[in-house]
Amino acid sequence: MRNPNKKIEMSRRGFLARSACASMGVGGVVNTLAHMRLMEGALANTVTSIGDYKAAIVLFHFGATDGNNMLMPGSGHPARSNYEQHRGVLALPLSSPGGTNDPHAIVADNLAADSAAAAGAENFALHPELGDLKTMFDDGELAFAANVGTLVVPTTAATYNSVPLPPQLFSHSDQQNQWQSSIPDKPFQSGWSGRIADLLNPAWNIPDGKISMSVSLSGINDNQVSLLGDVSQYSVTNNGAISLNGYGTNYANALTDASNPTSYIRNANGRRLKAFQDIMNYTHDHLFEENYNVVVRRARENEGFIGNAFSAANSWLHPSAVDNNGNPWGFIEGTFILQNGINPASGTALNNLPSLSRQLISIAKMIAGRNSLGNSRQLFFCSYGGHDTHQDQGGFSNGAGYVAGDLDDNMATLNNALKAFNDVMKALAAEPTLGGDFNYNDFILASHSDFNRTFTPNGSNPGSSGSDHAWGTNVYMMGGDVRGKNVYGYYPNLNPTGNWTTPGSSRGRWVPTSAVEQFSAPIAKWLGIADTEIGTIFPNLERFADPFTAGYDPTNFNSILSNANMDWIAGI
Amino acid sequence: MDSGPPSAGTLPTSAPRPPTPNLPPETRGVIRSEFFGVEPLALDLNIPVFKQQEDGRVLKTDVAEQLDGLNDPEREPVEDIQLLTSAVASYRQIFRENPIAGENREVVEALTGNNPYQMMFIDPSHPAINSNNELMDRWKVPYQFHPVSRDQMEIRSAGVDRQFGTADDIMIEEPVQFGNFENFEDNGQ
Repeated sequence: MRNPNKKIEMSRRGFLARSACASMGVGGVVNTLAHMRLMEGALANTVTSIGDYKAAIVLFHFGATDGNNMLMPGSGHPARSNYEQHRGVLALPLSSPGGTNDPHAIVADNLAADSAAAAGAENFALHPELGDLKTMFDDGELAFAANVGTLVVPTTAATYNSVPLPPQLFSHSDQQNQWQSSIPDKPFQSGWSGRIADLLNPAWNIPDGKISMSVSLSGINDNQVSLLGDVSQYSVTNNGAISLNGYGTNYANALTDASNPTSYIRNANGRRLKAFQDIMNYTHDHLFEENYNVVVRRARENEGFIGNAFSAANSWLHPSAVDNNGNPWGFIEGTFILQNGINPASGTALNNLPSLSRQLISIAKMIAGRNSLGNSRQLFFCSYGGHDTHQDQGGFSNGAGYVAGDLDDNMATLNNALKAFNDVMKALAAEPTLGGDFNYNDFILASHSDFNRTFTPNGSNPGSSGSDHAWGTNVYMMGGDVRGKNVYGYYPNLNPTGNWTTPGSSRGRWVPTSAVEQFSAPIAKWLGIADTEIGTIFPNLERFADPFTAGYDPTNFNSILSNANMDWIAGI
Repeated sequence: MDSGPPSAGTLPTSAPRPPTPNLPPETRGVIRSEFFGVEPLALDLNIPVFKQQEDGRVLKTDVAEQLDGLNDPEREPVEDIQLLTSAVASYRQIFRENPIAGENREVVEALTGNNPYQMMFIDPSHPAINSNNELMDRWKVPYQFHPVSRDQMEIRSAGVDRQFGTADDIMIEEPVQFGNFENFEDNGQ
């Protein structure tokens, strides 16, 4: 019998570990996450410098991209005949008379090597405007995941009417929200990136300093909403940190040195800024007033950190791109400008870049200037809108030639942005000063989309027709640690009335064969979430097959839900 | 006719669940917001605005009578969109969310009884409903229902030219640009 008077020695580490485990049994996700966060922080000691840097980027295609024409069956693929039969005016022929606007053939190594795969299952094609993505795919830097979507439980067409489904399927904002939370069956509380930040921030990032682990280039988003409230999103614009209004660009009208917040110019603006900052340094008894000042002070501090990161990145000059004043562009901007086919010597070169390229430029600069930001684990969120192509989706040919549709334009924008970003990441890894210990495999970019679009078009006019709201879609992932040149998950047979689509509809709305959490969990693990903690980040994951199991039978429809084949990141 | 809104929510009586109407089993609706603890409005289906049908469905007469004027050539076309928007709003008032629908047909199914109360907001034999169970505009083109969120449904008519995406399209709400942050810097948010 235990002596009740005997003192039980327990280390702080042991106490935290036990309390975390206990919370798994009795508490909710919040409690569990709070305990795990505490334990992670305690075990990691106080972080004083950054190292083993990793950045994860979520790129959300708002409005829902037509995944059916982003990644399509290629020559000999068993679904190609259904594609040509049912895609109607949106179908993209594999070859055209001039051959100038053809899809790009790609071969998925994982399917080619799988003896169980159907003949030709490895043959896909990318949208004609994704030529650079084909190169990246072939080089093993890019992969796709097929038919991913929001799910509450494993679902098939046969069980569609008997299992719980994600609320408000086909509704933009609800599905955007559910992709970002990956908990579709609960009222929204947090995003999956936010929960990762809750857990990893204290263990990997310098405490109470520098910028947030969660940085958004797209305003406030759901994906980075913290469950514990400890890691606030920090919004950065395409030009860097958001400054206080009224003091000129980068405080040029109020400060002699933007990086020194007290280098006031002796003018009205300088005095006004000094007065404002002095007021913000007061302490208040009222919590709201005090917290308002804290937010403003933190924003001003973050401006400095972001400014330093951008300054460091801007010192890296492009070898050939020269602006309208004869000065070399920064390497990052120059790469994006040239990739987008814009004359770097035009006075509006930067402003003529699409928003997506501008966002990725800012992200690239923060990665290049990471030593100013204090985070070894960094999460970025960016977005690309304008994909809701109910009309004018596809291009068509008339007497004067090919007229691009909205999807053509979107894919061209995407192609240029991803190619330039990928080039910058590779160049950064080789750059002697900024590169430092940065490696090409220190970033991963993964796409999200509200949902896929209907496989059948909503009209018969090649110019004006489009597609409507559907469900499971094809997404992509890019980076050095991505097991590229593969297509993960299960590509539908593209029969719009078959057993891959929602019952009652003949539009081709694929029931997802992989859940968002199966697709996203590898990112969490890559960032450092332990196997035992994955379920805290993705509480519904246990309902689905282990995403890290590589083997599967792509010809056995009934096996689909028992094996996700989503092990798309190497080394985890 | 009783055109007033149902005094729902103030009455303790829960609606009875009549027998399932003759809808294909694969299309029977479910309120998926059950996860959120959102129940349909409690209704007294005995008040005059609700009219029991022989097949078990319940006709919401105020909305259905308004929709009798749908596609009336004496009205302006935009009024048709207003009537449909009002009907969807009535559905939403009772079921706390829009019909779960990506297609015109699914909206019609929800408005003709494919819902937990098997409530009809429009007569299934309405001349605006075609043989594919789609609501058509006065030019015989199915309306486009665009689910923006659980409480916003854009409705569009292709207009006289019968082509969507052209200048004569008719709708009463501005299309929403999702994730379009082009003005992000301009407005400094």
